[in-house]
Amino acid sequence: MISREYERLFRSHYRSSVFVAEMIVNSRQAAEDIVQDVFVKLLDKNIQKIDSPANFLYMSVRNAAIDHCRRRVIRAKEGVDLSQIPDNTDYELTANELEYANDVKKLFGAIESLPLQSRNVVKMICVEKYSYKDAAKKLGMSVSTVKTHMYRSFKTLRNRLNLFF
Amino acid sequence: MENKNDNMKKTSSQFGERLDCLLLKHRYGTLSPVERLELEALLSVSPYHEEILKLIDGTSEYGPDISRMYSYDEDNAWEKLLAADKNRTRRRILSRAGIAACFAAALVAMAVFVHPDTRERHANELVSEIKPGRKFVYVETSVGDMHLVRESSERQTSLIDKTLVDVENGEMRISVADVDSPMQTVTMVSIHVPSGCESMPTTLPDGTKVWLNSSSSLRFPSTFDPDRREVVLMGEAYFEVNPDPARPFIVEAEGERIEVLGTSFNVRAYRDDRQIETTLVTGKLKVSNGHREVVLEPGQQSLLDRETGVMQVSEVVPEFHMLWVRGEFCFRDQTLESIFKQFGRWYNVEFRTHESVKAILYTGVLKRYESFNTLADLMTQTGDFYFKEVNGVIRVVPQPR
Repeated sequence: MISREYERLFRSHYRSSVFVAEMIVNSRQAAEDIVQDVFVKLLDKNIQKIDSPANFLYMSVRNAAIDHCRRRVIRAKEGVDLSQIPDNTDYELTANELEYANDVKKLFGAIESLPLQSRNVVKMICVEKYSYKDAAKKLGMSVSTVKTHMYRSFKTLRNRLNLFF
Repeated sequence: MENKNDNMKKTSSQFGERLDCLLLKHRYGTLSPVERLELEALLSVSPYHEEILKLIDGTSEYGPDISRMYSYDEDNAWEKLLAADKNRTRRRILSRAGIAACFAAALVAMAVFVHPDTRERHANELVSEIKPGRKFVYVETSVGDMHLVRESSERQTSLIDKTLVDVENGEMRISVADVDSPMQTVTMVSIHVPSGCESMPTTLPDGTKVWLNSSSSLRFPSTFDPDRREVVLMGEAYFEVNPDPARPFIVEAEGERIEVLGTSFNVRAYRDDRQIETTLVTGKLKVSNGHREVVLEPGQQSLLDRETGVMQVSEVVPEFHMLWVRGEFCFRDQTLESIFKQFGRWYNVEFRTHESVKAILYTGVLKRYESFNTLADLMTQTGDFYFKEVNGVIRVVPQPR
């Protein structure tokens, strides 16, 4: 039985978790597997009892990703001298990378928090680089509606990001 | 830093609308040269403004990564999690059956809540967390004083009307203070275990060890008679009697009389149960109700019907009936009604079982020290019923068909 809190955590942090994991392991498939594992383990935990579930999630993902990298090294070199295995710190994201990952997360989160229609418009125009005309056609709305959505979204994004940055 | 934030907020509220308007114009390509300067001025206020502009232009360095994030298959991952969750619950049930099977080999064939039902079912509606029982008891002396005794890892000694109560390492020991005093008077000592509690393993003055289940009491003299040791039980207890051929150990339980020399056995004699259940684990035991008398061998159980006075003896797996001492709930072809009576004592809540499910028989082993909410989720797996909490009473409601 999956709790509502669990689903909320998953829905709002799944993509960001995979992104962070992918930055560490440099493989999309591995990143997806790692995050899946972390979420499976979370099924056994009472999320309500965790102080900050999102922090806990990211820490777990980070640890699992670093673990994955270390095991990859062990698998690659058979009979490797254990002391030769790189330390955890070698796989840590640098301060710059971490900042970048956080910014992407925030930006993504800000876009995700837009109302559905606006979100779709922003995704198409800003991320997938559709023209206004093509976006309007694809979403089945007039160009002026697309513009209205964009205008509203800018406002919301600006306010959201103002809080974040 | 705080100042900067304040300024930023003020600025954005002042210029925000204008900025949005200019950004839009920029996107449409209808920005006049003057407006371009204005936009640049506004953008210089904070780095994120520029980031938004870049995002609009499609030149943001975050763009590719954000679209990458959108390409992750979230729904597929969610489906896999749902499947994993289903398997997990099923596995847990089986592993519990495994534990029980290891503990008593004869229980191998036992399945716990067989066939988890996979149909859609109504979820439990439990408002509060219902915690399992705790280890504390009241010790009462004939003077009438009640003393609360809790579990403690450190040694704690209290003197209650010439009776010493020692608590150490999670066990309780009751003895008489000042044994050699010539002026010894015998007082009666009672241990009361409230509903929602259980006793620590308790050693009586003669060295006999007893475990009292929730909602049970045991009364005994602080010094046993020279020719016999008599105790009075209400509720359920497991005894490991210290052998003493000269002084038989006698349990009076709701009209049943159990006489032993040295042995271990379990007695369940709750006033609100119709039957008194006595199960012998080791040694020899004489059970009587004033009219009939039977001698039990290890592995035998007597059932005394308190209304008809009929006494039946059957072969059982004795360990099964004392698993509660080890922190498990055990049922074997037991009706839901009686299972919830048992739960009610341990969790100190009232259950109301719907007529249509009362008589369903269940077999299973469940962990006693889990919150009831966890057990509830597990039991709902059978698909027969769900739990609904109404004004502190737990209703057991049949699943809609």
